[in-house]
Amino acid sequence: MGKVGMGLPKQRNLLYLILALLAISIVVPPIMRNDYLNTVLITIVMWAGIGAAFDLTAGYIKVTNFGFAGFFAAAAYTSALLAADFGISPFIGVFPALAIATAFGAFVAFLTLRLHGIFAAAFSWFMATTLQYILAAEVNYTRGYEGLTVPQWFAGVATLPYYYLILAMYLIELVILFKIVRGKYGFAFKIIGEDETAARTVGTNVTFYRSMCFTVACLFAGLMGVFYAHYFAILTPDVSSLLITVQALAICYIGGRGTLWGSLPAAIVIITIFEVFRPLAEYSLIIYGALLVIVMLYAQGGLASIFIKYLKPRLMRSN
Amino acid sequence: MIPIVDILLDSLVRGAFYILVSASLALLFGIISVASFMQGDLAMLGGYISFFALTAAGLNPILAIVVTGAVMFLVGAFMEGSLFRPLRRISGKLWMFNTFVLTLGISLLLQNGAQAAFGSAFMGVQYLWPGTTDVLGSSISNDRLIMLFLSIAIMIFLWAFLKFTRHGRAIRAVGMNEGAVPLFGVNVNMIYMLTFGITGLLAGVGGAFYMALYTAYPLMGVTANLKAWTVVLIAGLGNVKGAVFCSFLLALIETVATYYLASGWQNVAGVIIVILVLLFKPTGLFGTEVKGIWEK
Repeated sequence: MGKVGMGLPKQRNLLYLILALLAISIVVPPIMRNDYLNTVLITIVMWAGIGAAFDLTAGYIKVTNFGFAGFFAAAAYTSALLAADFGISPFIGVFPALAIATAFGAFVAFLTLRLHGIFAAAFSWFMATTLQYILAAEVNYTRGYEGLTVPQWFAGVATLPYYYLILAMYLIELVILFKIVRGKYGFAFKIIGEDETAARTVGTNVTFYRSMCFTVACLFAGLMGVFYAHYFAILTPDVSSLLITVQALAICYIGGRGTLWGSLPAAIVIITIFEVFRPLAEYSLIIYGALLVIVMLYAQGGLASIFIKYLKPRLMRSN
Repeated sequence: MIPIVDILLDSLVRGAFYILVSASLALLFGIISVASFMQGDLAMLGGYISFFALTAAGLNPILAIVVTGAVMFLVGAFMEGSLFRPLRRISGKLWMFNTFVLTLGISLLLQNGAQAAFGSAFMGVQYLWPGTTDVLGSSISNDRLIMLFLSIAIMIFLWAFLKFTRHGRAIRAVGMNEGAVPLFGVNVNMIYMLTFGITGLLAGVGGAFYMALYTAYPLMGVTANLKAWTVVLIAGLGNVKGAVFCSFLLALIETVATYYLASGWQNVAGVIIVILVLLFKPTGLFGTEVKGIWEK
């Protein structure tokens, strides 16, 4: 990593790799014309996006956002209710939904982030659980566990538009997040994560940077929530449950926290495995649990560390 | 008419459950900075162990609780040795942050492992001790009364152990300054193991009590976790004495909410209390004693 500052030419191979991957992801699905493949790809990209949003707090400021699903659900339900009750298109409804998720995130950040990160983790978990209770209790508005029927993004049954939509959302998310973490903010996030006391000592406004990081992560959690709502077209209070958070966390950690892109290989591997071995889905939580224990004890770098260790040095070698 | 005696009795018994699990969480947090997400699931394990001790092995209730405590002590100690000790070696400053994720993984394994092993059926016994007792004109089952006293007795034992015995003092010393205690000949690894064992015991016995009054089922740890964390956040992270008091406080608030609000909202009541505590006294109602815990 120390050689990154040596100038752009050495990164050219890396850039080619990224462009090639991007080209493949854009060109291949329309050629294959396979709806099943599309749905798998949509799931993969969506979870990669969710994992990246989770990674912004877990990997940088070292706050495990344990109420991640709450922010996801808040935005999902906002946009869904706007569309279902007032006929507002999700392309417009996404903005108030993001505002809600961001406000919700800012509220939790305001309450907890002047304290140790564990407060934010526990408290946002309470908020998500509370939201789940409320969504389940307010049957008149949310239909509770019967499920809220949500208008979809696009008319018709074609899956390709959804794929391009989530791909665009994911790319926007990655570009913005990388912009943030490569700049002054990312530097602040990193030292706060490494050593909070040291960051305070050199005059970093720890509470401000942490709150900002947390709120941005909530915004992207909300974005993915809105996509989820209008893609699956049905919402139950379970979107606010631990299940979503656990999957986000597992994908983020298995991918390698602190990389943002690590969730993509993790999502590819995990979703593919669950698609190929369907009966495994029943034991998905056991598998996530076991993977978390293994990753924590033996491979804290996750899948991304394989890339960083073996592939990157080769790509970085001068031509 | 307000049923004061009923409310008080209900909240005492409810609080007695919260005590054991939340004290185990507070102890882990306060002594060795483990942000544990698995105490509720340890309670679940304890519930199943006591169920099988009572039914399959046919032990008498007191013996079943003792066996549960002993087994859960070993489970806790084993987890420390096999999982947390390796994690401690590689964690450094991220220890607490990492324990949260590791305990979450263990929690998922326990929940779903129990589901696979025992099915999702509710397992319970009718009663341990038959009969009811009249307390100030309100009747309460003997089981509840005995559980309440046992919980309090266990907490008094714990307090005495931490206060007066050599090992108890060593545990508290590790909580105060982990770096210095090896200089006084304390084996820190042993203290970690002991602490995990004790917290396993507390949570497990709490689960056994829950099983006796209600039922044991694979996901019972989820609610137990939530309650334990609520109590501990209200009390101040890592404060065992505060956790005991706030267990009863939360139980009282929830019981009142159950009597006067629509069902489901008593869970919201706890969160509102946490919000108020975070707003006005973020270190918790009893949080002053544990300063410096973050520096470890």
